[in-house]
Amino acid sequence: MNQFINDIPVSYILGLAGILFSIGVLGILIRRNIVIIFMSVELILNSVNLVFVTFSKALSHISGETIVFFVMAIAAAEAAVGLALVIAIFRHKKSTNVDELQSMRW
Amino acid sequence: MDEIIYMNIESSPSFLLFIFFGTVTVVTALSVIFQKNPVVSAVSLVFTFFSLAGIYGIMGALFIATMQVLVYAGAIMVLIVFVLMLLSQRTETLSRYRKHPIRLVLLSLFALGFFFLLYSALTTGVPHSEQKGKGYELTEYSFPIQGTGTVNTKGNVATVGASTYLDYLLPFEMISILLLVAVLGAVILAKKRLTEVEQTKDNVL
Amino acid sequence: MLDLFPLVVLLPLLGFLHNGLLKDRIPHRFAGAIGTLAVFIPFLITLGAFNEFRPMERTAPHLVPVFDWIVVGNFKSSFGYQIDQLSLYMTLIITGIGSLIHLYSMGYMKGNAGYNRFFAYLNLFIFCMLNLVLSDNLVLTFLGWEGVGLSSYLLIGFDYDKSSAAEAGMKAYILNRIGDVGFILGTGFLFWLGGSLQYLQLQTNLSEMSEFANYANIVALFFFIAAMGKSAQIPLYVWLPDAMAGPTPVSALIHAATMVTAGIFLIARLNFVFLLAPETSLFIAIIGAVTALFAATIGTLQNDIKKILAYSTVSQLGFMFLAMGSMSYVAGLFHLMTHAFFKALLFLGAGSVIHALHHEQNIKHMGRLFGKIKVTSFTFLLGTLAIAGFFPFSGFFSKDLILEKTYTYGAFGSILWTMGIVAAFFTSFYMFRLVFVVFFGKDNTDSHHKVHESPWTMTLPLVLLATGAVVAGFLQTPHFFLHIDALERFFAPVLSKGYELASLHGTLAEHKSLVHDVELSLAGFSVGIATIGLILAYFLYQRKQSPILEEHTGFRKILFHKYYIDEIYDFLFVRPFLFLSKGVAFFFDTKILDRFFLGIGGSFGVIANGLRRLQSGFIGDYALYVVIGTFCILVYLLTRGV
Repeated sequence: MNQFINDIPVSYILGLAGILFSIGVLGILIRRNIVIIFMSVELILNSVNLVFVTFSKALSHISGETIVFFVMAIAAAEAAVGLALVIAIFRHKKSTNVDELQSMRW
Repeated sequence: MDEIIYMNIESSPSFLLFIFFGTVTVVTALSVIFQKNPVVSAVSLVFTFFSLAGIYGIMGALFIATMQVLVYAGAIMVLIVFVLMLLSQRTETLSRYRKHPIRLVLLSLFALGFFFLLYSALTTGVPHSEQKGKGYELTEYSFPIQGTGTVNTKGNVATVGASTYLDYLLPFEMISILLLVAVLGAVILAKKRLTEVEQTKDNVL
Repeated sequence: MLDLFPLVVLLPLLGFLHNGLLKDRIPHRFAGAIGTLAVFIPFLITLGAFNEFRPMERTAPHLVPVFDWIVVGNFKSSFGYQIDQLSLYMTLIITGIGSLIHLYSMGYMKGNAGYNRFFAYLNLFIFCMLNLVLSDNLVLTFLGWEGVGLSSYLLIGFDYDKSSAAEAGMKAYILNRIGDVGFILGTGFLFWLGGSLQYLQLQTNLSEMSEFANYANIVALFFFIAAMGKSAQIPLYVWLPDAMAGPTPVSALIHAATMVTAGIFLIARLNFVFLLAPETSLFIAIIGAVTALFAATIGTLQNDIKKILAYSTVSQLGFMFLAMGSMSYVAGLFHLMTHAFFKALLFLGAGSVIHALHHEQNIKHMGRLFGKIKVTSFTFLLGTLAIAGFFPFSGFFSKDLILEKTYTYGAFGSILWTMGIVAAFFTSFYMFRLVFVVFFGKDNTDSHHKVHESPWTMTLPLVLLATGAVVAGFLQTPHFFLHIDALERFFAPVLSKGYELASLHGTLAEHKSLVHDVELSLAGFSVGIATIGLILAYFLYQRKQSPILEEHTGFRKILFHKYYIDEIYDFLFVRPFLFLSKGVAFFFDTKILDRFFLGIGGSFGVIANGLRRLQSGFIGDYALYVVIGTFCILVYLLTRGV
């Protein structure tokens, strides 16, 4: 396994990915707007993509990049469905505030 | 994991670029979360995607960098912004977590723990088993279909393409079906009910 | 006809179902007729089968399998009926006397609100009793055994609004249950040893087992415990006198003629076990003799007409067990039949008297009934003569046979015989006391009521039973008089195998053959004793109108209070048990167990209440849980290594 990718230490990139992941999780946890939460999910996906690419390079194995490509496709699908859901929910509730979506309680 | 030696990398342009892009990434990501106005958040997210694409580019994954710009910064962000405009979001404050002590404590504990985890993982390293991978630097790409022998690849895009259409053919096809289903689902979910159209004339959407 | 035999069992069941399920819809007379027919038709079928079976010539039993009931591995219990001399004999008694008593009940229960229910119960009883005597295996017998216990309980507590009746029913049931434990243990033992539950199979299997003789005593003891409960022997007899809380026909049918003889039947059916168990047999004989004497003495001072007859029944059952214990099974079965006739007759007669006096049961409030209710009085007198053992009534022959066999039985024969003779004396005494006080003595009846003879449905059974009580004795007579041994020959096939086994193991009781003079003198002695009892009763209760014996002082007080047995049982068993139960119920159960288990339940409630907060309904919270879970997995993976 290579310790450096083009003079960038692998651990730095992984650290960046970790930070990005944490920010995404934090966004899911602290925001109330469903669209923002959605964006946070995209952040998390991106951080994972970054990890995939990093290891793909570090291990000289192309599969990582291929999987990133797939992840992007799935993220696009997810975005389509998710945003459609957001619209449906908004139409139903007249709000995108997740704190008001409490139908799971009972 | 060995001690990382910073001597000759600090002057390296790629490293400096990485630092720059990494900083931009983190800052814009934070801005995504903490901005009150969702549109500003969305724009910040675009910047995040761009800077990530930059990092991919530095690392040499040019195909992925391109796709990042196209798919994420292009398609997905357009979707998000479109929805935001559609829903005409006002600014909003942060979640109840601000007011709830138990959740705050849990959250900060989680943050601390994750930080520690990350730190320890990066300093002591993760135990792993090394594998001989398929040569990224190989110009000869062999694939397991009988009788065809090898495919010559040159450059990142070709390599990823070969991998996708040879090794990962079945997942690729499955993802195509998934995309179809997702599109259908999106249409059905977002579609107004025909009966409702007749009843309610003053639709927002 | 023989293969129609399942009908015999089925008809009473159908009668029970019909009367029981439709009890609120059908008129009383109809239910009574159905109930009576459901027993009478089986009686006719049994008679036909009896003719067809040719019991005097045929030796092998006729098996009628109906269906397999429980099949587990090599354990098989089926609904199958074994028709042989013994089961035919019992079936004839049950259905014959049973149908007479059903007929009687039609008159006796007239106007009772529970009429239909009563007939349903009676038919249920007959069904269970027939299962008991006809079954070809122990399990089905046990079903019948339990079933008669159940129907006995139902019928004793027939007037369930009277607490005394309900309690008497419970008492009967509980004491029978004690005996049933013996039955189950005995059954288990026999299955373990003989590997089968069918009587015939057991007989052949055990005859091939040389070491069975070592176990025979204990098995026999278990079955005797069962018989003790059902046939009301010391120490489990106390339920029978209380069982008189039920209607009189019930006392006649269940607690005199049929159910209480189930113990005798069981011993006869399992003769191949009891013949190999001389020690247990001796124990049975002793218990029987003691019971006979004990109950007879209690009977001399009771004032309730049904109680007297109940103690008399206990005493007569003691006689039967005395016969069974001295291994003269024919004598026991003979007495069973004659006793069934005259005791059913006496009970029905008593019922008729009670009916005539508008439910008066105390003999102190009776008297001079002889002229007023002629049929009842006359038949009652015949029954009394029969039970007291006067020649040539049936009781004489059977009792004499028992005493003779006892006299010649082993080392203790003469002692047992003495006890039997004394019991016979008391029997005669208390029965004639009853007769004199009720039918001849001073008129103490309540003069408001007009004494009336019962309807024909009640008197016809009395007459028929009286006929039986007079002539039934001639089936088996001693050497000096006609010397008929029909019963001996009749039962020979049933007992032959057991006798073979016993002689093989050398456990056969030696019955010394008697010189005819001695036999004659024994018979004369017993008749003389009975006569003395009669004369004594006459002088004490007929001539002296205020008899000295009714002052309860000293030993008489003990007698009047039935030796305080109930009180002793109450003190020894009931109260400690109640105390224990109360302790368990009100201290151990509520304070410890309930608190413990409710605490377990409550703790779950508390935990759930805490966990309920996790389900806040806020999506953010759920995301947090996902994050925490992920974090934990991450920590695990990073420490363990991928």
